[in-house]
Amino acid sequence: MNISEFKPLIVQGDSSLLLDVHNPDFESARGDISPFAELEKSPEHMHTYKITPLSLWNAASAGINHEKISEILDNYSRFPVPDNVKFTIKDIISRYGKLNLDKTEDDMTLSLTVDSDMIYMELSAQKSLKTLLRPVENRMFLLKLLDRGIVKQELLRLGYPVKDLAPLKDGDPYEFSFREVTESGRVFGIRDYQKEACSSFVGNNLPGTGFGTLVLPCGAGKTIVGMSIMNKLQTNTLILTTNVAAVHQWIDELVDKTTIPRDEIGEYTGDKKIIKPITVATYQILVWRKNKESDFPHFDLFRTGNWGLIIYDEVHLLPAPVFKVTAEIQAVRRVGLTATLIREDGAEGDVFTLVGPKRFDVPWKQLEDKGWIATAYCHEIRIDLYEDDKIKYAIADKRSKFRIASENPWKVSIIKKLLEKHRDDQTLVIGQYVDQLVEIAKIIKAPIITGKTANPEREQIFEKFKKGEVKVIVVSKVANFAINLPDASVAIQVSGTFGSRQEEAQRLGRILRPKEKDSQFYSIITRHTTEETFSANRQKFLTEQGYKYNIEIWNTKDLM
Amino acid sequence: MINISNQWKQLMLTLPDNYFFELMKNYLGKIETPFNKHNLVDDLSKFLVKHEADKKILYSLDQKEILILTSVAFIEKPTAKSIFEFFLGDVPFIELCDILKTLEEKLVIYSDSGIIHISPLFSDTVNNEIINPGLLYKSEMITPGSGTYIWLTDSLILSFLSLLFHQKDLLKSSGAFKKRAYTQVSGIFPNLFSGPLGNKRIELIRRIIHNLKLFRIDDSILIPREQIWEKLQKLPRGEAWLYMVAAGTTESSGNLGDRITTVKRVIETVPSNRSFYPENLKKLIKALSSDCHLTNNAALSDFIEDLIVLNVLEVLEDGTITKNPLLDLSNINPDYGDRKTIIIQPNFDITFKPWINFKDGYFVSIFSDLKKMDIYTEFSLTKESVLRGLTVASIDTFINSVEKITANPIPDNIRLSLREWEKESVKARHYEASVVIVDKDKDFIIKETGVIDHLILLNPANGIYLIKPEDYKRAKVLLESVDIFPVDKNHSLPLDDATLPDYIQSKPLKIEWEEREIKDYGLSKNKLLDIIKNLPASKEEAEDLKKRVTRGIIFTKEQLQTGISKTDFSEAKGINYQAKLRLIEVSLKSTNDRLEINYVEDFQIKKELILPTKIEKQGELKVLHGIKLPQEQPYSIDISKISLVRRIQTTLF
Repeated sequence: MNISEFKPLIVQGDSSLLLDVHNPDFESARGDISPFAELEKSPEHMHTYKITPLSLWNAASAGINHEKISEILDNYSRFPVPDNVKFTIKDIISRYGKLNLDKTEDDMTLSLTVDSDMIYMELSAQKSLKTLLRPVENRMFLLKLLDRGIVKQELLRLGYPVKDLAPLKDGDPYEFSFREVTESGRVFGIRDYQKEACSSFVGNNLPGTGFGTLVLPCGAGKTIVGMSIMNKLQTNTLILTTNVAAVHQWIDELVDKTTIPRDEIGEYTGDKKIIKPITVATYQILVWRKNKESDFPHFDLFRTGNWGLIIYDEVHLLPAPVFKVTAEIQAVRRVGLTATLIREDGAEGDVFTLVGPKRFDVPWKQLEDKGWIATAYCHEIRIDLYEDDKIKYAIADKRSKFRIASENPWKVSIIKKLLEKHRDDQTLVIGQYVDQLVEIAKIIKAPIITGKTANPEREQIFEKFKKGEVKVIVVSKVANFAINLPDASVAIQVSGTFGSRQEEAQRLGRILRPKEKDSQFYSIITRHTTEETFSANRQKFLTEQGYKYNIEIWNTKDLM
Repeated sequence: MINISNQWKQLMLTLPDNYFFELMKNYLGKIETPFNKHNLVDDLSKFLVKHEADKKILYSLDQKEILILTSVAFIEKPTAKSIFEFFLGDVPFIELCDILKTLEEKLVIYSDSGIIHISPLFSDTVNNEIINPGLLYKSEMITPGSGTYIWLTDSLILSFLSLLFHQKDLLKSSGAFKKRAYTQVSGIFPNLFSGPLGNKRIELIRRIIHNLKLFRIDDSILIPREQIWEKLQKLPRGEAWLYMVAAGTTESSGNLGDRITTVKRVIETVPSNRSFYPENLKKLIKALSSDCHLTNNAALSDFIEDLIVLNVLEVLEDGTITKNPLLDLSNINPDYGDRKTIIIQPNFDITFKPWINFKDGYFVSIFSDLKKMDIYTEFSLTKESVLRGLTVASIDTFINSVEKITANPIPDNIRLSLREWEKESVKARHYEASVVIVDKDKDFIIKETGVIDHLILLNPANGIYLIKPEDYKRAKVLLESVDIFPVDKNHSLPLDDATLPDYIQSKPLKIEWEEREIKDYGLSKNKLLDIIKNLPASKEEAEDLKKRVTRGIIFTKEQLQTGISKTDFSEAKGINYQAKLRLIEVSLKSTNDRLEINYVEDFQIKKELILPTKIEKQGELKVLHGIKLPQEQPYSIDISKISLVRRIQTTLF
């Protein structure tokens, strides 16, 4: 073997796969490994995939066996595939199909059949399953329809994936189609990757499909993908999203691009409680309750409408109580949409189990290369700590140190310089601390949107921004998700939630909608403080997606 | 071929008289007086040529004699003791002595100051036709398999360099890994260090780190010994690998040079197309080894086991052992022409390719945190890791090293971060240095002459100079040369002069692995034994002649004569105390006599071979003192406790 004969894949002993981006067989290898390996990171030279039990069971559910996986690995691997990796793949895949979940004559009861005495005995002895599974003869358990999700979740935790053969219920039919020209007058078409994402979810409509999570970069049109799925299924749909602005955005998009009339779309929020064949609700209203002890009254929304599809927008933000109710509605088709499936509470596993496994993922840079999302340049601007704050910073505790660094007054001067540079661009100034943002808004004379800003006022500011009447808006972390700001091409981040990778990615996402000019993302941090460390952590997700941060050190003298 | 040389004749003439005449009588029959020793040696020469003694003697050697003769040819400076040790106890010492004496009587070997040599008389035939390494190191021809990948690589050691340098407190003061370290290591190094084999591998790594002196410990922090790493970087890859393997197979760094030589000779001598039973491999390694720690069975077993774990050797299904066919010292861990051994990405990830060498990986390991050791090993540059790296080298060194390897500038964001961290690192500094404080009236001399400028680490204030501890002696000499005589105050930093040992570059043994077939000369001992039946000899004499025929020192009917036997008194047993005492006294007069002593202890008969030194009277008792063989330990026994004593001649010379 010499360097020119190198194959693109390195199969590591821990079942991770390194894929050489510069290898001529990169594209075909990526296509072949994607069905059974999850993309972990995709920086400039070497992409990392991970073969996990979940990814293997997903592959198994799609009919891929271990021989095929081994063949693909052998075919692309630069070095002999470690024996333990092949063994592990075979072992894990062999567990798929050992437990089958199916319907019974009673609509409210499901059966779980086990094809091995050993596993049957093991499950019978499991304390956590005692109240959920009722053993009957012939290695079979019965369970309540409502416990379907919880049982699957628990079995997965024990290392046994369930082949869910019980059919999903069809909701009430609701027919609509896409417009060829949008209501706003633009030619409309669905992009290839959006179609691919849709098909990966809907599949062949056979058991094992109809639930899952789709991961697409910000600005890649997750809403369009959601609407495509609705269009395929033609059924009553409940859409859950993060806030009222996002609810309105969904409604506007549906009206703009489909034949669904506005009056057939219900808004279920703090302000309105209208249920229609297509209903858009916020997570907040679902988890609202009078006090900690009382029930969640709005959970009935899941049960009252005969939904054929539930869309979980920004699924990485799914509140914990919604997990519970999601577990109960496992007979309904459901899809999670997200750009960054990173949860600070580590509950990614629950998302996969209850909403569904990852069905589609695409590297951000791949869409950028094809022009589907804007080319974005990331800059980190470092500035010294304000002289007066140095002693205060030195003696402060860790948390206060971060805040002092985040609120460094020099940052305002940098913002002014950047706004001057981008005077023709629509710009967002995004931050964490409302006091700081209020101060900035006052100095740069820009409107501000925080959690306290009333919805009509927000909409008004957004409208002016969209029309270009307002060039700059200052936003708190309410802008992290689902605010459609199509014309923003510059984002200036003055402070953030410590080292949140997800927040960084979502904030970049605010400026990724394709437009004529490239987008610029600035992050201002205080030099030689803890903010530097948190910033490095924040940037991890994006750098792993292949974004490069251009670091600039600004001199305070130039700002005086 | 018989080579009657002057050297051989001289050897014969140096034999003690009693042995000389014994030998002559055996071959030439009764000796008539007057005699001349020179003439007797000439007569013996003629006898040997006439009777083709080379063939008759050599072609009738039995397998044990050939084995021992082969060991004489292969062991450096062989003695009875070293041959006994070589066979790892397979041949009892008494039997070995008996065989060696028989070979002397057959004129095949001789001893000089205890060292055994092949006699020049038959040396050509012995070397060309008789000695049989294939028999000594018995092995089977095999078709080499595909081999086992070699896990001990530069990349692995470099990853340990990063791990141990950046993580505090992983080693005990004894140098062993802490329990916590095992868990951590098996997490970072998936597969390689899991299970019982994993623990063994970690132990070998510990030995490598310890024996190569890769680190010094400074208050629970491990600091890489730069001089050692520099030397490793300069060594060709195969040679550096030899150092690592050898260091992994020994508990002590004291014998590392010998161990390296041994490992190299094993690799170069053992072929990949033959498999050995462990016992035969041990003998081979023993013959190849100059390492005094590889003498006993247990040490050799451990050594072989270590070599198996290190994939130098591999065990086949039938339990035999062969050399890993993938092992090629001139091509260890080949790079396939890919010299860009590291990948650095803008997300601060650094990846080592499997064929990275010490030179390429040293500074990266110093400056980055190990994330995962695998086929491609993954590191990450962090502020903390870089700040620690700065205690060993500069950012420029790191950047230059990386850019040279990748043939590309490092990503801008990384470069800038490194520079920022570098700046931060100098805001508060800690030096380990010798401090020279000089008064104003002397300081100007230093400034004017610049005499120690090249040794100054830092000049933090007027008259204060920091100098590396290892440079201080030179600085002192230079200062004295300009009339400044620093007085040593509290100056006792030990200098770290650890270095890698050298080893002897010896050639591998060239061994014919196939067993030789010794020609059959058609000598019939039975015919000779039949003749003895008709000889007018006493019973004792006939027995002695039979023994000589059986041992092969009589091989022609001309030798079968009465009156040549020496029916010596050589054994005493039972209640005859006086006989035992007399036998011991007689053997005390001969330097070549040893005594086989039997006595009863715990209802069992025990046997010892003794070199008698004296008899001492202790009250009513007479105690025999001597040296127990082959252990060469002092030995004493009350003569009345001896149940049997036998005189044994171990050598003629």
